[in-house]
Amino acid sequence: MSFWHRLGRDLKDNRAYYIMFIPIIIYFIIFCYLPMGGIIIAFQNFRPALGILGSKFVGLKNFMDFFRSVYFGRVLRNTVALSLLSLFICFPLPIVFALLLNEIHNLRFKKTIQTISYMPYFISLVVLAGIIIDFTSSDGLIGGTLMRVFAGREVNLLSDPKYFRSIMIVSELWQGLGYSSIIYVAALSSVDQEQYEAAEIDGANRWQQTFHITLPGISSTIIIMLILKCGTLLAVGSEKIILLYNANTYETADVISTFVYRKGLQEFNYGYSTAVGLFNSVINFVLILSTNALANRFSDSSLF
Amino acid sequence: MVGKKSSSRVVFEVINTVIMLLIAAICLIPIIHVIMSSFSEPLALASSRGLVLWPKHFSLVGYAQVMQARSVWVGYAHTLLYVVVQAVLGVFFTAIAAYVLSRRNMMLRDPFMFLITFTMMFSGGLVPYYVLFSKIHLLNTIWAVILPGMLTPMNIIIMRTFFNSIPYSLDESAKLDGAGAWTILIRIYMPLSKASLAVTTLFLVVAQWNNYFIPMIFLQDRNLWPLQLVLKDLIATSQGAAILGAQGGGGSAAETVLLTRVINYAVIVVGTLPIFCIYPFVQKYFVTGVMIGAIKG
Repeated sequence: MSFWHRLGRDLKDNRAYYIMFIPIIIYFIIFCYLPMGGIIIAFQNFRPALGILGSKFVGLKNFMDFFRSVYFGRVLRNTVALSLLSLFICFPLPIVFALLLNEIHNLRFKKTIQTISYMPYFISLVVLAGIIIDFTSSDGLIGGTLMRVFAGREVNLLSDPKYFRSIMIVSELWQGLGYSSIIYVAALSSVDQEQYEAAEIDGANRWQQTFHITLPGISSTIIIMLILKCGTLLAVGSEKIILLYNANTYETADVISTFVYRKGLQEFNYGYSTAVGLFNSVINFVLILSTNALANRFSDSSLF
Repeated sequence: MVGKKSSSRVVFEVINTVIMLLIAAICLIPIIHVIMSSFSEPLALASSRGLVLWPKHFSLVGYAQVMQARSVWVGYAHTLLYVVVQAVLGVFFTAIAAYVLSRRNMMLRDPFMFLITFTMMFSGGLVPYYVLFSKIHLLNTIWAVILPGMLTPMNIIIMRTFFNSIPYSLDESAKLDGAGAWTILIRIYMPLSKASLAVTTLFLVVAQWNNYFIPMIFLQDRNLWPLQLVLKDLIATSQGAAILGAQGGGGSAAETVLLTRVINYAVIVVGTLPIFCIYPFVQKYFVTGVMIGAIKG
């Protein structure tokens, strides 16, 4: 039986399912695949009035403009810097937190700490930005009180580029520490308890137990989370930065996604902005695929 | 089971407990600071430095200003509208997608699944998205806020995982009794996976409640703004008192600035309270969702 014959038969047998799925397909085509088609804008001198079909084709000009501009180095450096800081600080700390939490044997105390640690996650970015502005201003707790004690003068931290990355990382940690630990806490609870008893009998101390039982027990979870994290290495989101940065701090705060936003939707430089966005999307895509390939090679855990 | 603890073990447990308490304190302090500041008197607040762990001269001035501000209430109403409509439509269509994608013996199931998961890895970017919304005339409509994020690959994958755990024999015996696809989905699958409906609802509600970026780029019309965008306007411009048209307090520039600070705190509390109120009841669903999402994602 030919493929088309079988497909026709399948469409008939499973007619009800295919009909149900029509709105889903339409949704993804309109809101995901049509914008992907809009990538053509990156190769055009796009004018909204002329549309995609009427705008002039300019080849790789928008990409060349970006690669040759002073912004290219700056946004790339800032994006990589923020990602790497997040990878080295915000990725391992939730694991440490989960491990420490695992050593708490009073269940009520453990539950309370967990509940409190998830709370900041539910605070919206706008409110988080409000709290950051308040704490880092020259009369706030960090910009005022702490800076007077440790640096000798009050500073409005958000207007000085050298503090921007720290503010991003500390706030990310504050908001995400508990939330990111959820998965590890769950993984820890499924580590076989008998192994600890056996290790105890063999005379293994706590550190040895942590390194030889606990960490191997949750290593597949850690690897999956690491892949996910590496896949988003150049996808530093713009939403928090847009609320916190200003022209004074572009030097360290401007990342690819904020640059795309500013060029595209504030300066209406559509073709250029799309080109920069496409550059970012392609790198992200390659990163996801290659980190997954690496994981396939070095362990038995991977995403697809 | 309980043996004699070594002294180093005791030291570790004490230090560990202290670290845990410290982390809890760090998580809570900014929240307490904002709440206590919101109940403070503007002048007393201005003269205090550092943390506010108790109201400075208890006062409801900030809340009084927020309560009479039309833009805050209009924002609240729109946020509720966006949250409810998106959650209802989102859960319904996510269930349909998950149901079809959990069928066996369906030739196009895997291609469909790929079509959906591929969108997690690659996207057209901001400008093509914006151009699309403007071409199909969604700018400045409530649908510009409701449709993006209504169906997400992650939510579909999570619900599909739940559906996959429902025995297929149930499905087949219902079919023998003459039940159609819709009946099976609505009468069997959805009632049997209430937890997954709760997880999806929760993710949608929290995301939409906190959403400011999509409304910011798609809604120029202030009368459609959700609460978060109103908040952003107040906080970012630090012109709160002026924007809200604050009354009383003499009206001098300095007093307006003082008042703005208290108003900002009050607005933050008003805008976050509902999420914090539902949070203790839904925490367990949230944990379930994060777990499945991370493993199956």
